[in-house]
Amino acid sequence: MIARIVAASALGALAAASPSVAADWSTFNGNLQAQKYSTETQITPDNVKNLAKAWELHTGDVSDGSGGKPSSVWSATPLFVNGTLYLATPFYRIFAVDPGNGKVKWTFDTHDGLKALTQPALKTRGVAYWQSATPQAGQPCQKIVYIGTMEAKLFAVDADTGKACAGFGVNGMLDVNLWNTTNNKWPLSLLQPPTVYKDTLFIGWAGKDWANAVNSPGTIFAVDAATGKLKWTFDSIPKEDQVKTGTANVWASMSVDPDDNMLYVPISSPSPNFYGGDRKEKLPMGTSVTALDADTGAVIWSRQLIHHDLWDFDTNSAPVLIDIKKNGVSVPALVESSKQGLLYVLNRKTGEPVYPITERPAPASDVPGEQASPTQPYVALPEPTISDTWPGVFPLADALSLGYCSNEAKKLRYDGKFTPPTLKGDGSLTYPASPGGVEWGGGAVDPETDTYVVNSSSVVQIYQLLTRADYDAKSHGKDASDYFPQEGAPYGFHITNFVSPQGIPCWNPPYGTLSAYNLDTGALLWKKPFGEVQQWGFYMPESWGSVTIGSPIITKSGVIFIGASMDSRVRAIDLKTGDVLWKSLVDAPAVASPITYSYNGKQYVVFVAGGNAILTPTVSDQVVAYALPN
Amino acid sequence: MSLVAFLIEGIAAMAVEIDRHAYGAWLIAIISLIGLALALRGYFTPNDGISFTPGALLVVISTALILAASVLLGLTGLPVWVIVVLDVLLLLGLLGTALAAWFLQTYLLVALMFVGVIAWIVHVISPRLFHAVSTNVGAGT
Repeated sequence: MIARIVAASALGALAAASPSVAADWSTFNGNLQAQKYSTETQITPDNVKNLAKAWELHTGDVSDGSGGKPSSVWSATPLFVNGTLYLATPFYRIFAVDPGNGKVKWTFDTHDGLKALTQPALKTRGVAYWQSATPQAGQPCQKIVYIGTMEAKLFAVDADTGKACAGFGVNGMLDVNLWNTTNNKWPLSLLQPPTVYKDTLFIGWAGKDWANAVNSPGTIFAVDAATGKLKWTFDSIPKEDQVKTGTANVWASMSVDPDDNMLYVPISSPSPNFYGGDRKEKLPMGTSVTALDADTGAVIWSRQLIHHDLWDFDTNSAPVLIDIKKNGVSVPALVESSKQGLLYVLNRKTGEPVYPITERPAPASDVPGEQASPTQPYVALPEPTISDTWPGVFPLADALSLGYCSNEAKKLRYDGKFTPPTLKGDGSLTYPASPGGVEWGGGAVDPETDTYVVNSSSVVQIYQLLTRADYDAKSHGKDASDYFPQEGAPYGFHITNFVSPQGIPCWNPPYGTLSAYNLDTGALLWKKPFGEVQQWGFYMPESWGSVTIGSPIITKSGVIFIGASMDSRVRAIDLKTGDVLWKSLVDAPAVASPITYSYNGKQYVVFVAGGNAILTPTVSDQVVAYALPN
Repeated sequence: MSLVAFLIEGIAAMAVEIDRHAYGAWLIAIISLIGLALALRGYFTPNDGISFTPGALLVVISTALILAASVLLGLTGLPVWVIVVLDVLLLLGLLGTALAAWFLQTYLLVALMFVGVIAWIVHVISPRLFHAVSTNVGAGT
């Protein structure tokens, strides 16, 4: 026991003292600081044009929605650790793969029911990995790979053999839904792998958004990595308010500062997402970034990013931890990207802004019973990833639709950013809207130059609340998937993209950008349209950009790798200029964050090309690794 | 009756034979044959970015029509008005296919279509057309 404590302390000291990067890609974001940064240098801006496919793997776990099986959304970041590449599939299987040639070492099947219980698609964002600080020779499960399922079951599997770890939970499975105390309508789906720190797993979950007013409170579960025994829980919603709201959960990844033993969690919006008349209490941790004591779950600080959220502006990615040099002084900072396109740079020890956050007046609600917040936080520096006002009517779409776009725009309520949903007319023109801004991938940072890179989308949606009678009358037929009941609230909800009858966006491009910032000054270094969109197979101009899901990674040699775009391309970008240096076609949009690693002297870049129906209907089971030729 | 059906019927009623001197038309035919093969490959190759898309199908159809039109122009005995109509349609087809191929990012097909336009210019300035015109004018007087 003493030896274990000493070893654990040594490991902790090592983690604290070592640079915040590692040769392995052992966590979802590359390291606990969520930097998505690699020290690899073999692939450079000069030679990246020579990248070629090194190996390719098809898991067989893919569904286009036909045959009674929900479609698959594969956003799983692989892990490279223990000399192996570990993958989760949207059918909730683990693949252990040889990193040099893509050959499968072993697989593990959770036998999940493959039903869309909480999400419209079968979805996973990957696996997690833990290894004992005091491994016992000859004993199994000294290194464990974890996979969560839609059914809220967390499986622990021996990383070397692929066998279930009997000592974890019950015969290797922890049923997290046993802790679902409030809502028995859907499980606490484990789509995001747990965050692993020391000997603890931090587990967030995903629910069935927009279905109910009252839901499970946004509980984080901290469990022992070896046994699954519950250590502590954290609730984002005060006990007394849990009878009228819920969620405000953590469905995205988290980050950890080993120096201070602090866990940083991005907390989503409370339910019901688009009507807050029955939850007027402050709920200060709803749509916030919050710092917890990793050992106890106690709140150290919390900063709300949206007051009284009525737009589903979930805080949706792990804060990126980075020590910046502001005015020559080192500042322990974090960067929280957001759906609303604002980049919040905070002192991660205190939660105080590094760059000013001001309260700006926000439009009032015209919905009976609702009371929108009179102000909302605003960040001017770093420059938001999207404009403060909606991009305006796209003349081409307007012309091709014979004026539909401009006529429709006049019918919608729009009073600027944070225009609340309305019952009136055709609804509210909402920009930014739920798809972002910045999605769950968040940004990446180069800790040597303090350059932060982030992809962002520009999407205009129409939000409309409906009386219960209206909702019941309209929420059928071919557009039924655009309607959400918010059961328990007085109003149902209708949401749709603002597009012409031909399906062309009614708002001006670009639809997606990639930007780089100097975090020491907050200055925007470059910002460029990113990706391409296709209609009927035709590629639209590059200046239009693409809506993106996924995130970039950065290498020490100054190369950004990113998939994310609708055109099923994966790209290498010059960190200094934002120029595309290389691109390759994959089978579907690579909506997972890529990874890079060195194995047997060669640097590989691995993309999971799984697709996401939000972007295009194209799905795949492809994993592809690129490397320089010998 | 559609224009295509009208043309086919009219042509079938005439005694036509291969014009071995219609170099431009035959060059367009060869180019469009290669273009058709490229377009078919783009349409049927899985996961090439445009496979089985309406856009890829469009260039399959357009290159096939260019091939048919250029073969017709390689025949003798066509009425002048048919030649003129086919020439105009052929140019529109070449330019339209080049534009579609550009947006499909099938740049080899774009290049082929521009070679086709050059061949089309060769075709229209060749003595063949003038010869056909004078023959038909003479027949009418």
